Amino acid sequence: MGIKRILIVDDDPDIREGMHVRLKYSGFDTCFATDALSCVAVARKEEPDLIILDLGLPEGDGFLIIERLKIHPTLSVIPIVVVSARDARANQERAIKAGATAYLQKPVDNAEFLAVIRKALGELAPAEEPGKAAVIA
Amino acid sequence: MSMDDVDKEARLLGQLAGIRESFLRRTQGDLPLLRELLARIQAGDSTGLVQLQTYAHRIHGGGATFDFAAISESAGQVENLLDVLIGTSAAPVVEPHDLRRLVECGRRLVLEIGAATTQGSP
Repeated sequence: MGIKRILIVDDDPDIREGMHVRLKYSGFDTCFATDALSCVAVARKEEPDLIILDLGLPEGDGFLIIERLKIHPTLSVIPIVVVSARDARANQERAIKAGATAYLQKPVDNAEFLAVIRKALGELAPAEEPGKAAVIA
Repeated sequence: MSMDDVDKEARLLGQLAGIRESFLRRTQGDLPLLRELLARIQAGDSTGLVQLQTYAHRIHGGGATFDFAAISESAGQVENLLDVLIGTSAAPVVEPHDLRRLVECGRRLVLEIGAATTQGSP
C-alpha cells in the first residue's frame, strides 16, 4: 500500500503548515489549496486520497466545494473531512448532508484528528475508533 | 517508545511551537490593519466589513488551532456578528446598535491579540 496523499484546503498558511507537519509525522503525503476556485483543479491534478476542508474560504465557501466535488465523475468518491472553527451545531448536519464524511470543530485534538482521517481512509481497526467529538457520516 | 521516536516527537513539537509563534507574530503584526478597519467601519465606511469578516474568520480558526482560546473566542464573536450583518447583501446597511456592538467586539479582539504571548502554552 502506497503513501496516502491528503489535500489540505485552508486559506491560513499557519494552519496549513500545522496540519502538514502533523500529517507528515504520521506518514501521510500532503498537497494544498487555498481557496474555493483552485480546490477542484488541485484535486484533479493531485488525485488525493482524502480532502481536509475548511468552511470559510475566499472565492466561495466549503459547502460550494463539497457540491462541486460531489458532482464530479472521479472526485466524488474522495472522502472529505471538514475541519472548521464554525459552530458544529449550525454546520455539521449541512456538511454531512452535502456529502462530507466527517466534521471536526477546531480546536481539534491531534489523536482525534488522525483517528478520523484513518477511519475515513478505511485504515482504522475497530478498537481505534474515533471518540464522540467527531461526527462521522 | 524508542529514542528515535522520542526524537521525532520532540522535533514535531518544536515545529508546532514554531508555527504557533508564527501565527501570533503575524496576527499581532496585523493589529494596525484591524484598528484601521474598525475606525473605517465606525466612520460609516461599509467597504471594510467583508475584509474584517475575512480577517476575523482567519483569527477565529487559527486561534482555536493554536490554543489561543481568548483570541479565537473574540474573533468568533466578530465573525458571527458580521455573518449576520452582511448576509448575502453586496452593500450591507449596519444599524447604529449593531455597529456599536461590532466595534465593541472588535476592540476586545484588539486587546486579546495585544495581550497574548506564547509563554506557558503548548
